[in-house]
Parts: sequence; structure tokens; C-alpha cells
Amino acid sequence: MQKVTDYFNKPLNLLPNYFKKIGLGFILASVVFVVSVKISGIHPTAEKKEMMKIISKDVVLLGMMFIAFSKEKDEDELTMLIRMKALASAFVYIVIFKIVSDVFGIIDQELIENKNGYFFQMMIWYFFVYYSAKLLR
Amino acid sequence: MVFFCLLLCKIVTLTLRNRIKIERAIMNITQQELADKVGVSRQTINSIESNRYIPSTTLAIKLSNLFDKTVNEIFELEGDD
Repeated sequence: MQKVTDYFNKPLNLLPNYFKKIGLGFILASVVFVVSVKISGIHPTAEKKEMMKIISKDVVLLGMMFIAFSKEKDEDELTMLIRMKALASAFVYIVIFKIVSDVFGIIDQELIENKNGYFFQMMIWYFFVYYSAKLLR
Repeated sequence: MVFFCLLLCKIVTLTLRNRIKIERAIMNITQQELADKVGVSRQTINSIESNRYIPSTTLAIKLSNLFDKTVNEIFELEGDD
């Protein structure tokens, strides 16, 4: 019984605040890596190019997750509420976006090509809602 | 259906008013000082004072203890009850 009450009463376990900097570092490192490959004039094989694309995207996604799930310096119950609402809205947004893109995909296949971008869109929507609500609180 | 609409309207018209700003003025402390005392951010205190956010029971009790009043003296339910 004690464990059940602990589960409901304990706030969501978040990463320490310095993970925001680590996340930002991940994103910057990925961007720098992609840009440096383009500038250096190296022409990797199609297979390597695809692998680099996947790795850089995953690193950016990991960085975004670190930023999203690390504590604020002034973390409190209102911040947690804003975070939960932003997460819920991001989930609803991505479900609606998926359905709409599928419906339009019947007409035009080009519109549903970028399915890998769903996670990015979800994170971007989350950040937009979260930081807007934080500014308005 | 109509019943549920009326119920929803009733819920929406209920607001929780509070006397935090007044009590804070009596104690002569800033929002930041109050926030530090109860362990929240200044923005949260501002949101509570302007009735944009209803605090949790824990925070409400912390505030009432700080002002040496009961929770009912600090927070009041307003609207068509």
C-alpha cells in the first residue's frame, strides 16, 4: 500500500538541470558534424551517408529529449503541470497530424513521405507549448 | 445532455479567490520572498495571486501556515455554489 501511495504522490522523476546543456551540446554537435561533412567536400557512399543521417537525427532527438525531461532551475508544481499539458497536447497534435497526413496521402503521396519527422514535430510542438505556457504563467 | 451542459457551466463559473496578495502586503514581503519561503517560483506566486492557477493542497497548507491562518481564510470558493 505504501508503494502505491508513493507512486501517486512522488513527482515525475526528471533529469538534473545540467542535462539541458548536455542536450544542447548533442544538438550542436550533430549540426556541426553534418555541416562539416558538407563543407569538407567528402563524398561518402550512399550507405554511409544514410547511416550518418540516421545517427545525426537520433543524436538530435536524444538531445531534445534531454532538454524536455530535465528539471528547470525553478522547478515546482506549476512547471510540472505545464510540462504534463504540453506533453498531452504534443501527443494529440501528432495523432491528428498523422491522420490528416494519411488522408491527404491518399491524394498526394509526397505529403506523407517524411514519416520519420513525426518525433521531431512532436518535440517541436512540445517545446512550443511548454515555453509559451511558461512565458504566460 | 442539457444537464451535463448546465453542470459544466456551473463548474466553469466557480473560481477560487485568495487573499495571498493582501496577506503578503500585511507581512510586507515580496513575491520572491514568499516564493522562497514556500519553495516555489515567483511566477507561481504571481499566477496564484492573479487567480490563473489553483495551488495544490500541500502548497495551500504551506501558505496558510506561513500566514498563520486557516486554508479557508486564505482561499475562498466563489461563484454559483
